[in-house]
Amino acid sequence: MSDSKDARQKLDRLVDALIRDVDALSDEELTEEVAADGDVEKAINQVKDLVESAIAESGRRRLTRARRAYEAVTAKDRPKVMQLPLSRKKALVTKFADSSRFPEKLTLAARNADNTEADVDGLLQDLLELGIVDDEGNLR
Amino acid sequence: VTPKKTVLDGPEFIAALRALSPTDRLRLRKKAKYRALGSGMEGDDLLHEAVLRTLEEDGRKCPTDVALPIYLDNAMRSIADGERAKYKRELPDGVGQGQDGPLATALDPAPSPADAALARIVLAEVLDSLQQSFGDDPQALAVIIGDIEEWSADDVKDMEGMDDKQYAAARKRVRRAIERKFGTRENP
Repeated sequence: MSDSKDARQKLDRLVDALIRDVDALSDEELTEEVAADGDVEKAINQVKDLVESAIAESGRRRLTRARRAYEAVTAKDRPKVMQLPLSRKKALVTKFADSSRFPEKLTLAARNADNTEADVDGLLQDLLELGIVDDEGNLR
Repeated sequence: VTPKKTVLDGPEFIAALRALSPTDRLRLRKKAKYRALGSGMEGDDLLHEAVLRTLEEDGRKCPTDVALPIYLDNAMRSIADGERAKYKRELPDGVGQGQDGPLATALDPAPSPADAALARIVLAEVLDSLQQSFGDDPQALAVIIGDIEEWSADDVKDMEGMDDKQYAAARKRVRRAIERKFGTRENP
């Protein structure tokens, strides 16, 4: 074997020969071989499941890409304060919670150390809508 | 004038997949095991990947004038070839470097350089296993060498003095042994 391409071709030739042998099997011979290794119906269903799993995974990937594309577009229109790092947003919410203008019903939620980013974003969104902070996160 | 479609779109491809006959499915799975040879992948994973990549927006597509099982086999061949490149990088040093015997001599009479190309290393690893599996079965070894060197069936039969029945039986032994030995993830 003189080079890697030659080696790869030889491996391909072996596999191609095996594939031709499979193509030459009648449906009956094929089924007999599969039966010798186990349950034929189970094998057929496993391939079916495998295909359906690939179809489902493809759908999930498309959905994820679509969501990311949507988020990328909407992120441009989001207030600057919403685009800050989570640690900075948490610090702002805690600071606002100490303000006398902070709505009492939000204070407890704002001081919860276990708030997720979605929780913090929700609080900031409330403050923006109430006009308590501006787009950049300053108290009005 | 609407241009003639040359490839199946996603829904058409999915419909064609779901319309595969039971024996189409069994045949594809068997082929996937062989296509995975030396790739480090399991046959089922290879078939799954072939379907998945076709469904990617920018993935390869099934031509409308190619039967789906043929397209999937070609896709698996291409993916396995690419995977061998990745798999080679994960092989420990020395794997596939020490084989000898009729298969290795027929396939690689020259010593491997330190920077042996990936196909040589992967093939050598496969050969190590084939050598062990068929070391005491010269008829099976002759079939493998014949396939790799593209010898005619008559040449292979002459090499070991096989008649048609013995040749067919040796081919089947090789195919079934490779299917069982290399069709799972634990093996190369």
